[in-house]
Formats: sequence, C-alpha cells, structure tokens
Amino acid sequence: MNMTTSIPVLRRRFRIRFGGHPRVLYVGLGITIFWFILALGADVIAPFDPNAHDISNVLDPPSFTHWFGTDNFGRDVLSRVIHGTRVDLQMGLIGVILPFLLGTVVGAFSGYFGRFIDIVLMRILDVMLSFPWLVLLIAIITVLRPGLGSFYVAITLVGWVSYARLVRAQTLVLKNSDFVHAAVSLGYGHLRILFRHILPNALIPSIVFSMSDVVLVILAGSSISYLGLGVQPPTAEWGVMIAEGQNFIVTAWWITAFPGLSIVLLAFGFSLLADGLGEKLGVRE
Amino acid sequence: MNAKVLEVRDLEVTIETPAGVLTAIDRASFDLRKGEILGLVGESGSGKTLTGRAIMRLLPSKKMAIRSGTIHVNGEDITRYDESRMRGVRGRIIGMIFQNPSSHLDPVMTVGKQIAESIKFHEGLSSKASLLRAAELLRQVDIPDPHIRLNSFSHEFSGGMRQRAMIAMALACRPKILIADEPTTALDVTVQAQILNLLLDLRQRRGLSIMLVTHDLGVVAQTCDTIAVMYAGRLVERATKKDLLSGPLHPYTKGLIASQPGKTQPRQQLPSISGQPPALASFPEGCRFHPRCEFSEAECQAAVPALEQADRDHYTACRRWHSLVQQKVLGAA
Repeated sequence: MNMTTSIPVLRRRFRIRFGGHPRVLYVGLGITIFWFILALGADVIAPFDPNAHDISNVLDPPSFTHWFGTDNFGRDVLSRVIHGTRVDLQMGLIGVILPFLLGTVVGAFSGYFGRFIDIVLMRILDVMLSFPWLVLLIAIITVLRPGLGSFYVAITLVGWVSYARLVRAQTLVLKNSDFVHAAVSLGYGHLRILFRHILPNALIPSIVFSMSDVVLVILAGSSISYLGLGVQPPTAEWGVMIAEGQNFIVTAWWITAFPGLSIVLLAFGFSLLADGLGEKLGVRE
Repeated sequence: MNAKVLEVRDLEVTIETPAGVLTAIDRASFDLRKGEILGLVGESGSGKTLTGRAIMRLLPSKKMAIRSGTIHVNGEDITRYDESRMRGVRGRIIGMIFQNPSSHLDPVMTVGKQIAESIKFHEGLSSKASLLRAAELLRQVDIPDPHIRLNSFSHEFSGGMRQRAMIAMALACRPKILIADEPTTALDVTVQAQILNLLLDLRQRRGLSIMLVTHDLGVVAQTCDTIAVMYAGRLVERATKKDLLSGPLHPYTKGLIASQPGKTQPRQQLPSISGQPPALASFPEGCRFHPRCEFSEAECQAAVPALEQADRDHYTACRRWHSLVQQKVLGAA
C-alpha cells in the first residue's frame, strides 16, 4: 500500500463498481446481513471457544472437526473468525459513525454560515488532507497508547474530512434552494433551518459514502491491529490473526487465509451495498 | 375605507456591483389596506418580486440593501427591526407564497409535518394539536382527505395541490398580510383559476390582505382591488383596478393593456410595446420609459417624473398625462 496516496484516491481504489444493476444492492445487503448474523450470534454459531488452547491439536489442517483448521495454540480458526466478526464489524461501524457525526457538523456549519468559520474549517481540512492518512492514524494511536479506544479517536480525527466536504458541498447548494427560502419566509431561525431542513436533504451522499467507508475503516482497523497498535492479542480479530499466523504461512496457510478472505468478503458486501444504494438514491460520486 | 395594514414609502433597494451601486427599486410607495388585494404588475426585471422580498427583508443577495424608505406594518417601521425581530414578523404577520411550489416544499418532510412545524414554532402548540390544525388548514384550502394527505410528501402532490399546501403553510399562523409572488405562473389555466378563487375566498373569510405580484394582467383583472404598475424599478401608475384598466394614465400601462389578447380581432397582429425593458446598469435618464414611449418629448429625458395624483386614488408618473388625456390618447375612452 502506498502510504502517501490521498484518502479519496484510496477509497476509490477499494470501491468496486458493478454498474447500476439493482441486484447489486440485494447481493450486498445479503452479504452484509450474513456478517451481522455471525457477529450477533457468535456465541451460538461458533463450534469452539475461540480462546481455548488445545495442545494436542496444534496447526491441524482444515478437517470436519475444525473446518478452518487450528492455529499454533490449537485454537479453532473458524470460531476465531466468527468471533472476530464482532470486533471487526464494531470497528467498521463505530469507526464510520464517529467521523460521520463530526464531519457532518463541521461541514454543515462551514457551508451554512460561510465566511470566517468556513475559511478556518476548510483550511484545517486542507491540512488534514495533506497528510498521508495512514501515517497520521498510526502517529495519533502511538501518541495516545495502542488499543481500540485510541483507534476510534484517531479514525475520527482523520476520517471526518470526507464527510465534512460532502456535507459542506450539499449545504452550499441547499441553503440557496427554494424550500429553504420558504422556510426563512416562515420566520425560522438558522439552527432550525440547518438541522431540520438542510441536513436531512444533505445527508444522502454521505450515507452512501459511509457504506464504502466501512470497508476502508475495517481494512485500516485490521492493518492497525496487524501492526500491533489496535486490538491486542489474544482477542480474536482478523488483523491480529493474520499477524499471528504469518510465521506459519508456509506450513499452515489456513491461519492467515481465512481471516484474510473474511476481510475481502465483508469489504465486498459493503462495496456492493454502497454501489447499489448510490444507484437507488441517485447519487453519483 | 379599511385601515392600512402595510404602508410602503419611498422604498429604495440598491445593489452593489463592480460597476458601482445600482438602484433596483427607486422610491416605490404604496399602501395595502385590510382585506384588500393589491396587484403589483410589471415585466420581468421590473423589480416587482424584489419589492415583495424587500418587504419580507429577504433580499436574495447580501449585496442588496434597503437604502432608504420605510415599510410600516400596523404602524411600526419594520425596516428598523433587527434580524431576530424580523423573524417574528415573517410567517406570523406577513406570509409569503412563491411561484414554483414544487421546489418551495421540503422534499424529505411530509406536507403535514411542514405545516405543523410552522404552527408549533410560532404558537407553541403540541405536535398532536398542530397536526390537527394542519389537517384543518388543508381542508380549508380544499385538499380532499386532509388527514390522509398530511402524511404525503410533496412529490406525491399535483402542482395545484402543492400550491394549496404552500398557502396552508403560509397561513398556518394567521398572518394579516400575504405576499403572493406569481402564485399561479407555474400552473395551468383551470388550476390557476381555482387558486385565485381560493385566495379571494381566504380574503373574504379571514380579512386577509394580499399583495399579488404577477406579470399577468388577466390574473390581476380577475382578483385585485388595486393595481400598481412597475417599470424598470419604478412605480409608474397606481389606481383602483377599474380606473386603471379602463382609463390608464401612463403610456406604459396603456401599452400593457393593449398587448393583452382578447380585444384584438382574429388574424390581426397583437399590438406590442416596441423595444426592450432596459437593463439595471443602463437605466435611461429622466423617465425610464421614454426611449420606448411613442409620446416622449425632449423634456421626458431631462427630469424624473414624480408620481402625481391625477384623480382620487389614481396616481401616474407621466409628466404629459394631462395633455395626453386632452388629446384623448390616455384616460377613459
């Protein structure tokens, strides 16, 4: 991964386009729901305890007992992948919601009030964009102390810029729209107009974008965990699993392959969902 | 005669441009009485819409400003109000409806919620009570099944219904004055007649005073009590509907009336006023209509004609009106 690539370019790279077929939306939705079910029902679905060591079955290849094999501690890889879904989905969702909220507020105020606020906020945004984002992410986490909490703080500080830009652009257009003029003519104040009339109309592109952003955040989260800065072992998380399994990649490929495939499939689902949703809501990037 | 609810005196609206400060509305004065419908007529760019917006203090650009003049509403000069006091005037004392109802309704909020929001905002009613009031308003503007229609979005409404919904929204807090900016322009003729009848009906029932901004003399003839004609940012003639339509005292008004279809014979070409209205940056000296006026003299270029009283309630800004009446060119035929 080229560390200096800018966020929008990276996001475009991870975003897979499938043209405007409505089926895309439902396939994406199906895959996403599948992962949510796995995450919610992990305790029931997983055949083994994800953290139970079994010294007699170390590095077993995939079999009928252990579908995805076992790792160097004899832990069941399938169970760990299923439990990892919880952590990774949670990372993806919280890691998108927090920047979404911050970016929306910043973009809305910037676009609506303009002038000084706009100039200041947009210059901060330019500075953020000029940094290689992954380096910035790692730097913030390192300063704070490695862990999931720091990851959320860092992704919020890094990720809000895209949402701020989207919402600001929409707000700029909408604040001069006719129905906003009509709202002003009814005597409404700025905050009511901004939050009740402009924002509900301005959020649609952000919502579509957030779906594809989930993909990037999960990838970022796994990468950070892989580097040992995010989720800490022995917690089952896909990035952590890949990191732990890489020493055995030649002899026991299954330890890294299945968490890796899971990331791909989760990303694939959200990508399709984003694409279909964008098509359905008539949003073009 | 009823009391004046709106008195506009010498209203001057200016626009700051790179070429200097231009005057978009030049000392316009008119009154609106309780229960009266005033038609503000003029071509595109004559400043009629801007006049309506200036009264609401909703000028479309920050480069525009009310330079001088007063706007008295119920005896108080609202040009002195600050923005927060103005919010109490908008919607509560002066309501406004617009030309294009489709784009003036919030696309992602139900019509009922939009009307109820205004009631809740201005009168502090509960959500439930204001929704009931909203349904009642929809019934008053003749929307069938109002309780069901409350939950519709504006794209589910027809053009005429959207304009009705806009009227309901504007009237939600019982304003005394309604500024209707070309309310029927985007509608077809039958719906147009229905909306105009609705406005007449509301005037009757609520004692509403309406300022109807339009370029359509036909609409004015159907509804208004008084007519003010604007040309290039100035009021050129003001009279009761009957006086103005039957005996115009300004050559521009006369030209406007003559260019209406109806009086001309079939296959005959419709008379028109030659030339084009001047652009804001190049308003002519003196009377702004003189380059297009068939009766203009050298003096018309020299001095700005004042709006002078020609008759009871009949004002004209043509310095030659008297001699033209004697020549039987203007005035009642």
